[in-house]
Amino acid sequence: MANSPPATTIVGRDDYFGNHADFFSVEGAHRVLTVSSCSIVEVSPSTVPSAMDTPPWESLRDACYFGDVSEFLFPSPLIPNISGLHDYACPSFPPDRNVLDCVMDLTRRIHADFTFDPAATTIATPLEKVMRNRRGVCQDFAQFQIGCLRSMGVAARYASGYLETVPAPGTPKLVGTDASHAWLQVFVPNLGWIDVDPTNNLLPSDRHIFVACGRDFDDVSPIRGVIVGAGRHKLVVAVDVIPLETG
Amino acid sequence: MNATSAPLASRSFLDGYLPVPAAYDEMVASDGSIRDSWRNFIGSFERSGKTELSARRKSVNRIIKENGVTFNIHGDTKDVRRSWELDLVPFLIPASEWKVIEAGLIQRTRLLNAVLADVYGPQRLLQEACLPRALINANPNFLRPCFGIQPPNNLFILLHAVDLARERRVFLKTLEGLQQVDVIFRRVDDAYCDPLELRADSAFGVPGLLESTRAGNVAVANAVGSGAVQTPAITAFLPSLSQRLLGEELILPSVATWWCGQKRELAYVRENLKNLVIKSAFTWVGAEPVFGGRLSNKERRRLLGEIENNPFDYVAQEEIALSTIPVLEPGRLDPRPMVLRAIVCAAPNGYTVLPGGLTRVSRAKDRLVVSIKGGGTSKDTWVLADGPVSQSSLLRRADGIVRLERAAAEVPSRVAENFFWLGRYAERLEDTVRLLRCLMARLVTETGAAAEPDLESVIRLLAHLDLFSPKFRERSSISGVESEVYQLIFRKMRLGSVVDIAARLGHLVFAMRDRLSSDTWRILRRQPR
Repeated sequence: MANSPPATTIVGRDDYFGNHADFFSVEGAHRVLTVSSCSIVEVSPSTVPSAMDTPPWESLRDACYFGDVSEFLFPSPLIPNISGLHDYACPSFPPDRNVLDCVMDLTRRIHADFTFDPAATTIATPLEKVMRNRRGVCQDFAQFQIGCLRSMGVAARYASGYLETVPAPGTPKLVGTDASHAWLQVFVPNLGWIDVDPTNNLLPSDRHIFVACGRDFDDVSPIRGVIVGAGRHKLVVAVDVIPLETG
Repeated sequence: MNATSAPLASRSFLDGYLPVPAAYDEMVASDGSIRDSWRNFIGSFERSGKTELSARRKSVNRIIKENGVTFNIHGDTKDVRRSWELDLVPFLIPASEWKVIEAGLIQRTRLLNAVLADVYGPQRLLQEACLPRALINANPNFLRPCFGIQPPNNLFILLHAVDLARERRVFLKTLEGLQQVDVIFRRVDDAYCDPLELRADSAFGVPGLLESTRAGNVAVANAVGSGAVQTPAITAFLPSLSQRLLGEELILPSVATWWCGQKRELAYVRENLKNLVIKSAFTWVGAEPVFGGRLSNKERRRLLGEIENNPFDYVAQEEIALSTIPVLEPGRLDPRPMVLRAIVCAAPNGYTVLPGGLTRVSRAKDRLVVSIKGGGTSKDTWVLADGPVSQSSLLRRADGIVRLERAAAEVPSRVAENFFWLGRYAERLEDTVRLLRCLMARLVTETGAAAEPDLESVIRLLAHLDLFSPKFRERSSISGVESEVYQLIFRKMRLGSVVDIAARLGHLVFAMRDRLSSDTWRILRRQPR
């Protein structure tokens, strides 16, 4: 990570959820603050388990509630237990269906029912409004699906990271067109956390670059801070994901 | 021997004093006799007589008003300050009883501190299932960013606002520059303490406070996150936690509590809802307990449905009768349910309990919830001693010479700013009132306003000073002046009106109370509101 102007203090630590977090402060006057983060990430295609191998969804309730993963089962600041979540989720959870099939069906429905619309929401839009208007961005869809799963007794957590976009055939890849992305992870006993992306209706593989996880966006906002001073400010975010040859 | 065998000169205050059946009365034993510890007091109370007591009551109220002892009704957005109420009859606690309470409170504080040190540290209690993991994970007051922060001496529980944090340290801005702060005694709720890591919408907190505590550069009392044990849910586990952490039995038993986040407990609550009190497990602001026995069948079914949906959000407790204590009503005593809030503080050699506490009494005999907010009153709390006690006082002796000093480093910038505005508002208030007086004297003369030669100039002056609307700058007739005067005095929403400035002044006076002499305070408090 690099800052401009340089930070007076930088301290790194791992947070409660095991994510790496850096604390920094810039104490001089400045007009522009740039935070650049550059990482070399190795990705490998994920091994998606066969849905047949996952247990019926009803069996997860107690395992999640009494286990360590209950951290991701209870309501969290941005994902309160609002009444419509359970009703929306129910059709995907018929008795005895294996949990991965339920999750994929729910993902498909959210992808079909909700419209991707960056103008519809901000990071402060409550879940209830997202549910009512059925519009939003990846963060909203991920949080909505997490809420649905939790209401059925399935532990789910918010995953924050980046997505590599592939340009149309024949066009060169532009700089800064990749995006911060959000999806979710579902806990399945014996298999662990399985990535699910409702925005793209798929189970992520090697184009999703995982950075951090938490109960909801509030736990893993890529950056948060306080500016002391007057005047307006504007935030610009740009992401580049550039494939390197494995050497 | 009891009091009934030795009647007091006059029993008038006690006539008709009927304790609630089955409730423990602090003054009267179940056989109707007055308890030993109360006998002296009641004797002198009776001797004082009604006239004297009514005079004393008035004097108490006057002192409370003069000193500005008020409380802000919590959750009220308007600035409503109600006068504190104090009943003349204190709560008397015999020394022997206090010893037990004291030991029990110290034990409880040690216990809760040990629980906090564990859940924000190694979490052994969760691994060993002494405390359900779900109880911590479902608890919104368990602040994840506080995990791993170890306060000095591992003291989480010790018992305002600071300006800014930098370089992982907290500083106070004073007239002589930044002074580092070592200890913060906070009155801000946990979640609002640091907008950087906790609630971002908090305007009260110090950005970077958590990072400063993490670095060990500042101590906060109580540690941020200690609200995690301020939940009735944990009460259910205190007996076993005490065994596990302290190897001791609980000295003061807790109210029997069932946290609905467990299967067996939930089943019990389902069966016995009629006899239980249901409370919110984790929120304590604005959540009134529900008495299962007072609900209709339909209401009970609905409540049960809500509990089944989010069982972890509810606790049930057995319904207990609070003890009652006499309250002075005109000419007689009347029993009321009471609770005592005691204060435990950390001292170098362990916790210590301040003798006494805040005794609160319910508004009505049959009201089961005691709160000042709900209209109850308060009492002094007297811990009786077995023998004479040595006098000690922390007040500075008055016979020394007070040396005047100029120490700008002790004046936070905010206080200096408040002083500046105090002066500005007082000046502005006086100017406005004087000008209004000039105007009004000319408006209401015997010869009629029209005959006053300089009336026009005064109106124009007010307009040019922006006290009156600009349309009066050029106008020569007096039409509309009356309503303008009225608005300039009484309209709250008008910037610079007399009531507006007075309210601003009142705010400042309240905020600066500790910086003003008591005479200044009293005079400024008398401003119109």
